[in-house]
Amino acid sequence: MTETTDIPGNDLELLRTMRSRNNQSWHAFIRNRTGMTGMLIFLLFVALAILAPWIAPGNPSAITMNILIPPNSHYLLGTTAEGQSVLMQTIWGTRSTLLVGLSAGALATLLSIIIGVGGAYSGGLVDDVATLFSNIFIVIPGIPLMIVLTTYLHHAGVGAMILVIAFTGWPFGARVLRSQTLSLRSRDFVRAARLSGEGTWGVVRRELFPNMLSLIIANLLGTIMYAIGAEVSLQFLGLGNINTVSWGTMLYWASNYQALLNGAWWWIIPPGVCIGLIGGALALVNRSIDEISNPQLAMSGRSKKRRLRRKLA
Amino acid sequence: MKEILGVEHLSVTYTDGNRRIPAVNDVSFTVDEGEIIAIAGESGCGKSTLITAILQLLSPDIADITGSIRLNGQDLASVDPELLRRMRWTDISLVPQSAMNALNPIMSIEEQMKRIMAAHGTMPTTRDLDKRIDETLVMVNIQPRYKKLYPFELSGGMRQRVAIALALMLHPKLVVMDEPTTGLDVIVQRGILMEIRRLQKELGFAVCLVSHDMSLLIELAHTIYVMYAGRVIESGPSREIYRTPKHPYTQGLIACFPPLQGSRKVLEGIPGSPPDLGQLPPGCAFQPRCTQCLDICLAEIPVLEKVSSSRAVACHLYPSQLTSNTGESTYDRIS
Amino acid sequence: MTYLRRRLLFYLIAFWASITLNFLIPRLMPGNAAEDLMMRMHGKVSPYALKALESEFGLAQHTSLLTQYGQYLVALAHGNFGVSITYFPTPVIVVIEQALPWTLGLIGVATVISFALGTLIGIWVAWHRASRWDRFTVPAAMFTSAFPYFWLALIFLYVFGFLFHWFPLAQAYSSSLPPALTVPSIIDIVYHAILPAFTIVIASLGGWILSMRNNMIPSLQEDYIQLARAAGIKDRIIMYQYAARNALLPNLTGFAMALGFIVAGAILTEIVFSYPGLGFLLFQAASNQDYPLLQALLLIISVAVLLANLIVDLLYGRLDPRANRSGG
Repeated sequence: MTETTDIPGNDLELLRTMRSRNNQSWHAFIRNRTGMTGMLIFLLFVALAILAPWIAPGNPSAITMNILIPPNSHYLLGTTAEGQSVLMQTIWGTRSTLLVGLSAGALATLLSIIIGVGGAYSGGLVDDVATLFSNIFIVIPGIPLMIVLTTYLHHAGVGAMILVIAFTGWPFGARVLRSQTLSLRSRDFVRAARLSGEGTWGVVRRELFPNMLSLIIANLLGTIMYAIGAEVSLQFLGLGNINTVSWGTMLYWASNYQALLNGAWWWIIPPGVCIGLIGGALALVNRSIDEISNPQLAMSGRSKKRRLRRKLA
Repeated sequence: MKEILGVEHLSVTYTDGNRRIPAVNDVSFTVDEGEIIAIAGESGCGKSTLITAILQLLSPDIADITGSIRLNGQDLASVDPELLRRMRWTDISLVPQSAMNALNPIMSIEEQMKRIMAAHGTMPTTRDLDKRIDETLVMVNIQPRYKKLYPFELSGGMRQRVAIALALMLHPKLVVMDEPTTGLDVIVQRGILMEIRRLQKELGFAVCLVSHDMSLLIELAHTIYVMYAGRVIESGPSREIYRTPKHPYTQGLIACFPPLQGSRKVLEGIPGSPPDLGQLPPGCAFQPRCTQCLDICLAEIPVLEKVSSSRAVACHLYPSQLTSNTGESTYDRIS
Repeated sequence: MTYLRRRLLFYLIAFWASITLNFLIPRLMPGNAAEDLMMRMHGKVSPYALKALESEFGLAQHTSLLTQYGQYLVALAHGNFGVSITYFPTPVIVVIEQALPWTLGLIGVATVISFALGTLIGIWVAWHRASRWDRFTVPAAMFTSAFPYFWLALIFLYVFGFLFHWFPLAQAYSSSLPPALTVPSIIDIVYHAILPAFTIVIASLGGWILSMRNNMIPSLQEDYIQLARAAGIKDRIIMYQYAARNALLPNLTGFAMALGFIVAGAILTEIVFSYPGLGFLLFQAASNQDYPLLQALLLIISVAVLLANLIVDLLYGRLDPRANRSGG
């Protein structure tokens, strides 16, 4: 016998309702160990960013004579080629990376919602154009486009970088949200709400968004991951402001000073590990949302439909 | 006659964490060579689980299976996987519930047929193989030139015929048919029904037919087993069950469906809906929906007992010889 | 309209869109990057070349945008991307021609290997889901795909190049052995490509494993899988011919959509390894504000990704009979 587990058709429904009973989304998330681990790691970095001036007081860019010192009891993560503390730079670097990542992620998600949900809800020509637009932007590679845009901007500041990343980061989300909107739009409860004369915004706010929330959050987390990756990459290439402290600029200076060829691994490892931790944390949260909401999404849609049918009857 | 399938005290319980759901409870029946037996019941009564268990497709990870299944004289629990694989389709084949989803969407009809032949080492020369495929398709009234088509290019009725053709490819001794006409329109249903009956007469395979449609079962089957909440609650020859259904549930089922032939009459439904197998009511599982409920029905689960040489029923309305002295007198009807 | 025709039409529109975007970027971006460029170039190039640069960047104020667009299209049709500043006075097209084969070779091979390997592992862990291997693979895949390509490149370079001396630290071939179609030269080229290719494979593998696993698991629940098992078809054939063949279709679509992202990561990997492909060139162009080269590279990379998408679509059409006949 194979190891696949299958339950025949009619009885599957039963097992599903049985399982969904203890899956009230928010509680399920809190109880979900994967998701909570990810969330805690992420919140830890947010705390680090906010509390940087108290945790690591001083100027992280301050140049000292203690250059390229390996980790020791005084410099826990060693120093750079300019004698700056790698630990301090890593802590302060969280600020810039998270600022750009969160803002650009939020902005890109907003664009995805406007173009994806708006297009699908309007339908017709608007939807066709919106779809074509997002499909084209999906196939245009983002990083090269960002490199070109930031080159024109001459060492883009934080604001410009957020705009550039958001500009290239929206199409995937728009596509996902569009198909979800299309499927919700054709469901009974949305149709009934529309027929009952509820305004467009009312239907979107009361009927669509509550049902799309988990998808939007998942998309937001994915876009934040993308934005962090993009920010670090652009900073690494020296296309942002190279004098700010961020994980990307740390790696830029490290490779400019040939850190690895000097054996200064301590300069390279911390920012990379932090990026990996944040990325992994967001992926964990996303995965737990996926695990919880996939059956949940269907269930909430159906229960809502049932409630409405009862109301109409 | 020779027995093909023997199911004895079969129980299947799904487990999920510390919850246990009994989906099939102590079911026994046999199918003889060339016989057509039917399993009747609404969706959720455990009949899908029953046939999945018989076909050995349930994973032990999620289901506890007790009792025994004998196929062609072999106890399936003790058969090694390779032999079981060889027995599949040559001893027992399946016409699935929904031919739409049961055919591989990206394989042509021909390729799906070839894969089944290849799996059983009966891969003769290409010409013989082509001939066999054409013959099988002709048998179910599909023109051989359609074999190059993909499932999405066929109509619902044609897909169902293809599914039957697949099931008959290796001339099995027993064909399990899971709701073979559900989801088709009435005229197509009728056609498929005639097809099944004709093929069964020509080829002489035994059939285990599973459906909620009593009129179909009475039309085709020799023997009927009615299932409710995982248990067989009545069994007997189909004509007799049709004429004098004993269990109130069987009576309701028969009243639900018009006979395929004969006069129209007013259709009655059974009030209520099938119980949640995870939360069965106390006593007889049918008790909350029963119109002839007794006090004892709330307390005691009725056992399937013979009421004549060929018939059995599990209902307190028909006390067996052993309990008949106490039965009728101590418990009054609830009105 | 058939599937193929609709896809071709889409790619034509997308091609036009990327050409037009390329035309608009220098004209819409704030600042006067192009004028800076002209200042730097003054006196170094012939008046004729200067005029060409002018029209390329829309500095010729007397012509309308539409005329400029026309001139731009004509120049493109002739493969005239102007002159590179980094490699002055080599025409941009020549610079790109030299770099293109390296990128196609490295990124093409690494991406195909990674997709194939990831898909196979994904099939395997989905089939044995909840097994020990599955429980190990999923978190491992999530972990490795969380790191940026270029950082993994830095680490691999440090460990395998610098510490162990197993692989060269940079370049695509030894300076003593110019690329040629001889056995030693080919070995030398492969030797130089292993570490960057390994980086790209490791960085992208996790994503393919997870997406194939996610597509494969629902596919294993399908009725036709049950029927195939009931029919006694061998597990191996059910796994590959029934489940995986169906699950591969959505995975291919995902592959097409992720290509832009992969190429971006691979470009940064080239930069770390100083691998003389388009990515490294892009970096040089950005550092030197070599706008003609930069613009041409963006266009070439976009078109390459478009073509790769087209190939995936053609493949999809071959693998899914429904795509061709129903137009869906």
